[in-house]
Amino acid sequence: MREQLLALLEEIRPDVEFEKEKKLIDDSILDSFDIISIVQEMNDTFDIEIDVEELVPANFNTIEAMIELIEKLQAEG
Amino acid sequence: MHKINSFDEIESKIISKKGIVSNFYLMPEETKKIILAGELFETDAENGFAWVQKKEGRNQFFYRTDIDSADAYECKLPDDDRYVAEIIHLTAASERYTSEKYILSNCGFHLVEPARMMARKPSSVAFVPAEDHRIRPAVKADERIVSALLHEAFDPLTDAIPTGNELKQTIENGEMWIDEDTKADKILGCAVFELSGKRAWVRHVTVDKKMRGQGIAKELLLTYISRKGPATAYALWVRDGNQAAIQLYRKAGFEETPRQMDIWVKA
Repeated sequence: MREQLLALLEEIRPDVEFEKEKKLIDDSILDSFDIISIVQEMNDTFDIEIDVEELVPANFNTIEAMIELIEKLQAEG
Repeated sequence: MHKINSFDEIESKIISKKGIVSNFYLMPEETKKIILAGELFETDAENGFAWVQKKEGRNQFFYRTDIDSADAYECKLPDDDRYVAEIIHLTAASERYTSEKYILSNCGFHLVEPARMMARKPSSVAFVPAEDHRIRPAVKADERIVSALLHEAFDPLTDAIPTGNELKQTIENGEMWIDEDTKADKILGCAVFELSGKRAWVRHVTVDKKMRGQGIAKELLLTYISRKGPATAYALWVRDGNQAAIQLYRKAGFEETPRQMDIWVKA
């Protein structure tokens, strides 16, 4: 899943080192245009539905947080 | 249509529907800013919710509905104004993209033209503009000419140019740059470079009609990009049909990305 997510993120923002960054939202590395694309692509790729309540910085600040969110939503199914 | 005065007024409506449709609710902080500026209005919609952000020369339409009822979504916007809506996507095959197109068609919108994102990395090679040309941030005294250049080249509705207070703010923030002929004391062109985190958005690059074809836009772009700024990437949106602009951006080192934006208008 990690590789798949990383590939998706790098397609959207090839200039960002996703493995290294720890504050993707808090440091404004990603903006709302990126989040729109990331949410859409995560929904389609991992067959989940990210809801508005989940659109908080804590869920998108790191690649680990995004994986955790995907796993949680997949488990809720 | 009624004005939204606080985020609380719409928060439950945003949350009450499942399905990702319209980018509006993303990042509540951004929605709160629009509300604070007194720009957000709510209007009636069947099978969902509808909002309009009203700015000088630009009414942007946002919607929220369950993805499964997208084809039954309908909103009657007042006929005496023009509205714009945007769909951002990576692939034209997704269910969400199809749903968003249904929604906009149902509400009387038509597709104007798709746009594509182009991007490039910073350059370490210094760029020297032509003799007598100076590239600098615009100041208050440039506002009138810059405004005229923007209005000559762009449609405030579909191109989202800064107008009125927004233009003042853009200049004050140092985001509006101009290329001037110091000998003739004349502004040749302008562009907006808006820093968003570590990326700079390039917007509204334009050159005086009489001065086009002389490499002024490229000079403006490359001078800005080659300075030692904080941006680690540069990005812009360009209409698919605007081949002249696409060629210019390629020459300035930009490459097409897979990200697309459809611009829809209700006239």
